[in-house]
Amino acid sequence: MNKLGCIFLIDDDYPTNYFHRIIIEEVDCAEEIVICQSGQEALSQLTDRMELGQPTPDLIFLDINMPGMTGWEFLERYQNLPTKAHGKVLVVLTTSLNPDDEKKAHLLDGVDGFRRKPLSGEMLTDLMQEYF
Amino acid sequence: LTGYIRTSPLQLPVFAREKVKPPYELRGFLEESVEKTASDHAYFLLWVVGLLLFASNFHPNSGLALRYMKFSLPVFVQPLLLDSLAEAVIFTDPAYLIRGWNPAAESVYGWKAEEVIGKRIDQVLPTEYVDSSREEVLEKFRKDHKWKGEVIQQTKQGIPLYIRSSVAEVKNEAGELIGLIAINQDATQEKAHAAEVEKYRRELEELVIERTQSLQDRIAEVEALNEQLTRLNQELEQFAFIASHDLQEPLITVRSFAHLLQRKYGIGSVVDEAAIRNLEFIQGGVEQMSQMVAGLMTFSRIGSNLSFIFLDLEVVVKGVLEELKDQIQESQAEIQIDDLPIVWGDQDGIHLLLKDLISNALKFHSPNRHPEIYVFAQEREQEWKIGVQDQGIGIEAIHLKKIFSLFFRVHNRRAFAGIGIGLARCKKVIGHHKGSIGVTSVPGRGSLFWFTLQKKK
Repeated sequence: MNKLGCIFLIDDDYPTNYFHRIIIEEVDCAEEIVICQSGQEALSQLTDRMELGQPTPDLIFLDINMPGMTGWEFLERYQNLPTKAHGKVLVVLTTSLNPDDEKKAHLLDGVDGFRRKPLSGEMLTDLMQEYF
Repeated sequence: LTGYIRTSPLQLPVFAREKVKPPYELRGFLEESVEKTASDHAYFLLWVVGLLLFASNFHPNSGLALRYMKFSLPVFVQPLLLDSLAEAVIFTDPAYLIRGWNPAAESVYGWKAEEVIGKRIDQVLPTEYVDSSREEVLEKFRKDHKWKGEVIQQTKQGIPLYIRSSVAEVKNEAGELIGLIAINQDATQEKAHAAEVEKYRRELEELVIERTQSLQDRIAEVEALNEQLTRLNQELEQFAFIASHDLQEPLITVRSFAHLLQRKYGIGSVVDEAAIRNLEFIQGGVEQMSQMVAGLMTFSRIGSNLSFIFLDLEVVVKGVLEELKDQIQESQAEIQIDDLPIVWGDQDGIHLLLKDLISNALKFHSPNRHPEIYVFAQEREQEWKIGVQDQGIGIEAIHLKKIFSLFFRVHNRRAFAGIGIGLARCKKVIGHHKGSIGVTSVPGRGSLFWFTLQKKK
């Protein structure tokens, strides 16, 4: 299994990010893990990286239910960013059990996958196999 | 006069219509009056009046009362002319002195002819005009030489009477005024009756308006309450939805970190039995709560995406059995499906309903026998009744009332897994279909869960 360059975790919940980092480190599938605690932070990180010529993320995990800017709102702004600022694969990772959210995610441009939290080692290797 | 023609019960013989013409100026007035009805009565009356005037002409200034004149009339006319008329007939000379006063006038006004003959009419019968002023009436009379209208006059005893009056000038051949004739009909009772009817009508109308208003008030009240209830329900569902959504996150955190701890301290690691057991409790609790939160989510979403179609229940049941095939095989259940109808319903809702009922029937089977389930339909006038019958453990009567409540459970989790949401969900689905749901059960023998669905849209 190839090791990815960079994974973005976009989630407002600290323990969730903490746990997901542990899982990613255990699977050892990324050189760099960037944690963004809001959509705004993620947008500026992505813009900065593009401007500084740093590699864009290979994989972005995006939470939906966030205060301030929801995952859906983030996706609108994300679509307006230059393509070279985009990550390679974006997966919506949510606690939502509402089937409507899953339908909506599949209809949106820029969303490659939909998974339910928590992230597990198994889920991560599946995603690696599916997209990389 | 017209009134007389209409109301008189007299059946009079017809005299030569063509030959006998009413003489004098009265002709125009009378002809105009009778033209509209063209009845034989009218022609006869014309003839009688003509005769009268003819007779009076012999004594233009004699002051002879009609009462006397009648003796000079043909005998067969006498009772008809004055005695049989229902109307009071009053004749005055040009000085308004009463010269004629028939029996009907006597009975209407209470004055005997002898008492009034020779007196001025306004002294005997003070008159008020109902629809117009005295001046207007006089003006009209001067112009037309006749007048018809409604007046109020008094009897001898001072009792007011409501009178329909026709008054006309009478002239001789030379065109000289010889007097006035008034034909008066007592309409007091009729008027009183009409007033009473009107009064009742008004009262009834007021009552109807009042009742209608209070009914409308009640309807508005009920509508307002309904609206409030609907809003509260929506808020509640919204609350359940958001709560279930937001509760998910901390639950997942607990589950995730419990999992990490278990990996570190659990099976295959340095053993601390108490720690392992405690972790299992944490995980069990979290698992149960996750199921409840998920159940709450599905429960709150029922009814938010309804789409009603004609559903073949046999197809729905087959789909349900396919989804439950593992449980069916595992429990070696025998399932019998009768002919099932096509119903009007929401596919997802009815599927969920039948799945909950059948999986309950599979789950709550007696420990010493395999589940036997019978699904059937009964046709009623307006609806279908669908039944799911099992031979399972049954339900104690005291639980039957609460069994459709959210999170209500009869058994503990060790005996039968579950969170107590299935039947509450069924009830909600059926509520959205405007049907009903119920159960009859004999403990140890089995339960029959039934629901109804409308036949039409």
